[in-house]
Amino acid sequence: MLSPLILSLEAEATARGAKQTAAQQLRLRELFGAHADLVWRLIRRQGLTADQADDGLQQVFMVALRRLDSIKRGSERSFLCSTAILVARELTRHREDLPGELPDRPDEGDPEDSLEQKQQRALLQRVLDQLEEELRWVLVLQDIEGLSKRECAEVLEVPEGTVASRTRRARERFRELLAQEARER
Amino acid sequence: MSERDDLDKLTEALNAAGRAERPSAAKKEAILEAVLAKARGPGGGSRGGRRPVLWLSAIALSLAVGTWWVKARAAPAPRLPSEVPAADVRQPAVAHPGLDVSNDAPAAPVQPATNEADGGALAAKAASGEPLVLPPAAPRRTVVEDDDALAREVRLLDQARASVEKEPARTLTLLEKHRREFPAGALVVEAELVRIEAYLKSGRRVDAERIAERLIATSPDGPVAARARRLLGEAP
Repeated sequence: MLSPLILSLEAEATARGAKQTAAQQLRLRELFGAHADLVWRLIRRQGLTADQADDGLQQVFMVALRRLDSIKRGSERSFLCSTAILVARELTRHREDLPGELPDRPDEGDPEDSLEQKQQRALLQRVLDQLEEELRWVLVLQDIEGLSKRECAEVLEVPEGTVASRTRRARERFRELLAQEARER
Repeated sequence: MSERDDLDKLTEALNAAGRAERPSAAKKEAILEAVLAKARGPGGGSRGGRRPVLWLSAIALSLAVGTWWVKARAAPAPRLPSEVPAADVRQPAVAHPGLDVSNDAPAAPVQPATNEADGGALAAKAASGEPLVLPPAAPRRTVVEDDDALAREVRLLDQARASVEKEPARTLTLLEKHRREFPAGALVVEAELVRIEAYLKSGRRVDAERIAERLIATSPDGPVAARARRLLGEAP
C-alpha cells in the first residue's frame, strides 16, 4: 500500500530508526532468539508458505522494533503471538501479491526430519486448514505451541472461559476431521 | 486399542511434528539482520533487497497492532483479534499487561499528500528507490490518534469489501464515505482496488478501467497494477 501516509511514515521511521539504541537492538535480538521459531510456525499454521512465513517473521519483528518501548517485559511472547496472527491474516488477504504463491519450498526443518514427519506436518496442515479460524488458533497456541490457557486468552483477547470452550470444540472437531482424513487415506 | 486412542496418538504425533518445524538458522539470521539494518537507520535494507514494501506494511501493521493493543486494555471481548483485528474500536477499560502505554513510542509525524498526484509521485519515487523528500512536517499527532484513525479506516474498508460481491452499490457508497473521511488515508490504494471490483460488479466497466489505468500508471510493474489488471481480466 504505497499511500502518501505510509510513505511519509516510512521516511520518518527510517530517520527515527537511526536513533535506536544499542539496548533496544539487544532486546530485539533476545526476543528474536527466543521467539522467532514460534512466530514463524504460527504464520505457517495459517496455511502460508515458508517464503511467506519468512516475510511475516520479518514484518512481526519490524512491528516489534517499532513498538519495543511499549511491550511490557514478561508479555513479549503474547505480543509477538498476537502480532503474528494479525500479520498472518494480513498476508493471507494479500497473498495474491506475493511470490509465495509459488509452490512451497522444501521443508526447512531439520535435515534429519523423516519423511514420516513431513507427511505428518502436511496432514496436520490439511486438518487445520479445515478448522474455523477461531478454533484453529486455540488449538495451535495451546496444543501445538504449549501456551497456557491464560496466555492464550491474552493473545486472542478473549476470556479464559471462552478459550476453554473453544478448545473443547476445537479438539472435537480436529478429531472428526482427522478421522475423516484417516478413512480417506 | 480404540479408534479414539489411535486418534489421540496420531494427534500427538502431528502436534509434535508441527512443533519441530522451524526456519533454517541462516534464514533467521538474514531476517534478523534485515530488521536490525532498519534499526540502524538509513542504508539498511529489506532482506536480500526483497520487497521494500515489507517495511511499509510493517509500519501499517504496527499502527494496527498498536490500536489493537491499546484496545486490548479493555475487558476481554469474546472475539478473536483475527476476527476484528485493527478495526475493532472497543473502549478500553483496563490496562493490557502487554502494553506499557506510559512509555509508548512517540507518534510519527503525518504529512498527507495534498492530492493524488503527490501520492503517485511519492509512490513512484519509493518504487524507484530514490530518496524521499517530504513536504514540511505536519503537526505531530499521538500514536493513539493515528491508530484510531487507521482502525476506523480499516473497519470502513472491511465493510466495503464485505458487500462488494452481493451489494456493490453499498460498497460504492461506503467507498465514497471513505474518500470523504480519509482523503489521504493509509488504505487509499486498497480502496481504489475495491472500487474497481464494485464498478465491475455494477456493470460499470468503463469506470473500472478508468480507475485501473490511473493505478497502473502510478507504478506499472508494481503489485497494485498487477491486481488491477487481474481484476479487469477476471471480470466478464
